[in-house]
Amino acid sequence: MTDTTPYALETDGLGRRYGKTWALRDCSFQIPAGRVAALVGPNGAGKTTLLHMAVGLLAPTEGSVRVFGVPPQNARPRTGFVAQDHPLYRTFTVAETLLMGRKLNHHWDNTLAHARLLRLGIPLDRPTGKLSGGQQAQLALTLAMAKQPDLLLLDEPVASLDPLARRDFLRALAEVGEEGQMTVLLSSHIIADLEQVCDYLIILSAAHVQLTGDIAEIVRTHKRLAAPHRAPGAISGVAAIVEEYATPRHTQLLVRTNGPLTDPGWEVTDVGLEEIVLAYLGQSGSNRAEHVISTTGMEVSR
Amino acid sequence: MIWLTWRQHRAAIVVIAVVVAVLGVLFIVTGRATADAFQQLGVGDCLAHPTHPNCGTIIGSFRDQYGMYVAASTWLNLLPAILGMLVGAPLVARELELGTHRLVWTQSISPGRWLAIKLAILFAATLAATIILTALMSWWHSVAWNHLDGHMTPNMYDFEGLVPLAYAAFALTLGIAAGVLIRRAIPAMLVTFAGFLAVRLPLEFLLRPRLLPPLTYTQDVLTILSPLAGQTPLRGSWELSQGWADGAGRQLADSAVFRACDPGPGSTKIDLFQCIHNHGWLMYTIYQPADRFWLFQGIEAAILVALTAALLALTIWWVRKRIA
Repeated sequence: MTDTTPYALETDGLGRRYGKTWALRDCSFQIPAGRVAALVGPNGAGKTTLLHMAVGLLAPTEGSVRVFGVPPQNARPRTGFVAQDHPLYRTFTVAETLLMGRKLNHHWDNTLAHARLLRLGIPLDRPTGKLSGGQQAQLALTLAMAKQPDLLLLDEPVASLDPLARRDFLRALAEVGEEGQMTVLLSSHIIADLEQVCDYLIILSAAHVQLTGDIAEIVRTHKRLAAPHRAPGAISGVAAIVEEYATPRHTQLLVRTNGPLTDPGWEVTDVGLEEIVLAYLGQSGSNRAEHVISTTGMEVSR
Repeated sequence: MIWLTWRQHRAAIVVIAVVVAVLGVLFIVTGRATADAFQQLGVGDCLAHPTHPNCGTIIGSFRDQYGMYVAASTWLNLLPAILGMLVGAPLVARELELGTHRLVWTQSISPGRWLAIKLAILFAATLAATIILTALMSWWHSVAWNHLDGHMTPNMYDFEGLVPLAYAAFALTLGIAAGVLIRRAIPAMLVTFAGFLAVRLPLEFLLRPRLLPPLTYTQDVLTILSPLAGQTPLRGSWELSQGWADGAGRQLADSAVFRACDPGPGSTKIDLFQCIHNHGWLMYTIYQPADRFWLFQGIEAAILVALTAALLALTIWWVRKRIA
């Protein structure tokens, strides 16, 4: 398929207001095609609002969203979506649910759907309302995947699953990611597990995008600095201080770097993704600087 | 999409079919009994030859025995409201409540098309059922009641011609629109029922009597007692009200008339009418004549079709713009 844009999903100044409250505002990011991206943020950060606008369930109040360069409502056949709590028609059997998928989609891989369900041991003749939560989530994912979408959007796919079902679900997703045919964006307020599956990150908090970029790049460019006390002035190699924790005798920083850290006064350690995410979520109330780390490692602060 | 519509609404469509079948059997059974009685009691002869003796008694007895079916049939006026509540109101509201609109509207089909196909199929089912019931009731009326009461009285008018179709289409659309706007099935059902009555009752009781200015027919009361009384312009009309007037055309209160012509013990209807006649008073009837049937049906159906179109436009606009 030839696309005029390298981006599977692209938003520009996207915003949505409910009454007087902005659920999402000034949201601009791009997800390159082929990525498995995580959309993380606390409950109420605007993740669902963003996803609903990306699948054409909700019209933006301002700004725009593009799926492979076109409005979402024109990209329905290319977009797979699993809504939060994976809604299904509860009186339909599994087989009827698949039949619905086949009837409502131009592209439909019936073999893939049946093979997946067989492998998962989900019986075709059972009403979906009688399946376990994990099975329902898997069926919803199967429905979205059999559509053979180029972009797959999943809203909190693991939130309602027990640990075992969550592991199975993420494994299935990791397989999709490895094939590299599909761009995936999944939202989650649980940061653990995501690193194994995702290679791209969007941090959303307080209705604003806090950080987007390649996960390896993000981890590489964020460091924790520690020193007995903080000397005034800029620190060489530091683009921004994300989090600062200071006592009279000790200062700890979590920083984003833009060059080598040569200042010998600081002890430099690596940080994990979860810590970085938490640092960004923690600062979101006071500082709304938006950070974009492109896949080439170039940094832009807006 | 046709499959999905059938799968989701097959229970409703089967119930509609069963209701039509049961009512059909009832209409055929009672209709044949009515037709037989109409002939055997000699009601038909009386209408053809009003001068036959005992015709007043014959017609009265027929009405006493078979009028109850007509009275019972007026409950069918609520059928469209029930359809709107049970099929229309949950159509979108139930999806919104359960979140399944997020499933079905993110397949390859657009919400607008989803709605269009569902509407088309449910409208077709509704109109088919209504056409069958209207045909059955028209036949049911034709074997006896149209000869006695014409087509214009509400008991006939409401179940013949275009109006039943228009009410069914309106009620279904009202239910769907209420479901879309309220987003919750049970409140939408209640609003549908209330909304249907809020249109239905004023249309019949306030607007229909005034669609065109009603006519007034004035007659000497003694002519009512004549066997040829049925041959007046009132025949087959919708009689709205009756009263008394003096020779100069001034209306008289009933109480004034009865005070002057007190029907004391032992006095008959004939004594009363003779007294009224002797005073020179006349009986007037305000009525909508029989020949306005199709005009009124057309106007009333047009009003309902306009309301239906407005509700449809609102529903389609909302689904396409607000959601998608």
